[in-house]
Amino acid sequence: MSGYLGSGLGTGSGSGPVFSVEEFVQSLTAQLDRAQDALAIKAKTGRPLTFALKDLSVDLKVFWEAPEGQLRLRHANPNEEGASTVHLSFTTITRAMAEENSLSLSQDEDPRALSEITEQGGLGEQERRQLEMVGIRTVGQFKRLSQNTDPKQVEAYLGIPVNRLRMALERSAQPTVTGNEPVQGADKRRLLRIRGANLMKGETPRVLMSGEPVEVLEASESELLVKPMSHHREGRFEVEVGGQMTGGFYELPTEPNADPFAARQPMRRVGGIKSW
Amino acid sequence: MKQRVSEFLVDLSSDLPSAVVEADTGEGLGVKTFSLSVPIESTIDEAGELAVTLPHGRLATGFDAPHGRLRVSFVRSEAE
Repeated sequence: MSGYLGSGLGTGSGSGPVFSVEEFVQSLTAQLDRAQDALAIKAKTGRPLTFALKDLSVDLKVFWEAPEGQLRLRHANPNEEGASTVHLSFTTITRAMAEENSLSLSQDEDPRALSEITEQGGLGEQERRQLEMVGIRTVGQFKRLSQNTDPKQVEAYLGIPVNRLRMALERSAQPTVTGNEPVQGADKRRLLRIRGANLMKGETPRVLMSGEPVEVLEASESELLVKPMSHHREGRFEVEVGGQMTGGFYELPTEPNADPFAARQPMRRVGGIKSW
Repeated sequence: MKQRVSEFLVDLSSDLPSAVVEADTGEGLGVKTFSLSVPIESTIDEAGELAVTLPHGRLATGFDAPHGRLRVSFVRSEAE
C-alpha cells in the first residue's frame, strides 16, 4: 500500500465520521479480502475460469483533521471545496511475503503492551505515542531499542528525557506474571505453566505455591513450568527472581487418581472416630 | 445507489468476458488480465467501510459527492 496527499490540505467545515489512516486501511483491506473470497467461491460453482483481484488503487477526496495530534481523515461531503486527494494502492501478496515483512509475535521476548510500563512509571501517554510513532509497541521492542541505542540519541530524536527512559527501562526489567494455565506432563501429572516477562535472570527462579516451594521443571525469561504438589488445588503462587517477587493466583483441575481429602488437614483419630 | 467496494468489485468482475470461443472450431481467445480505471462517487460509512458507485452522469443532481477514481486489475484464475 502506498499513499500520498494530493492537492490541497484543508480541514473542511462539514461533518461525518473520521478515521485514522490505519483504521481505514484495515477496513478497506478487509473489504478487498471479502471481494477476493467471493471471487474464489465463484470459481467453485462450476465456472471453469474466473477472475481474481490483482491490483487496486483508489483516489478519495478527503479532509484531514488532527484533533489530538493524530492525523485522521474524513470523506468530503457533496459541494465541499478544497478536499485533498488520498491515493491508496493495493496489490496482492503471498502469505510468505506477508510473514517475511511482519514482526513475528512469537519471537518477541516481552510482548506486553508498552502501556503496561508507561502507566506505572517512567513514560507518560505522550511519550508512549512518540515511541509508537517509530514502531515501538511492545516492551520487548522498547528493550531492544534501549540495548542498541544511546538514550541521549532517543532524547534528541524523540524528545523523551533520559531519566524517564531509564525509569521505564528499570520498570520493564522487573519480573511480571501475565498469566498461568494448567498443562499435563508426559507422566500425565498436572503441571502449571506460568507466563510473564523477566522470569529468569541467570539462575532458576524460586516458586512457591500456597506458600510451599515447588519444583521448577523448565525456566526461560517468558515462561516457567512448575510441578505442583498433589494437594495443590487453588491459591496464590509467588515467583522470586533475583530478589524480586511477582505472582498471581492459580487454579488446577483435580488429578484423576488424586485423594479427594489430600488438600484438607491430615486425618487424626479421636476416640476411635475418624475426623479431620 | 452506492455499494460496498467488495460488492462493487465482484459485480464488476461478473460483467467481464472470460473468453470468446469459435463454435465451429472450438478455438477462442481468452482474457488474461483486465484493467479498468473509472471515476467513482464514494463515501465512508460509520463502520469505516468504503461504499462506491459510478458517477450519476446525466442524472447528477448538483449535490453529488466529489469524484474519486478507482483503478483495478483483474487476472484470470482457473478453478481448482
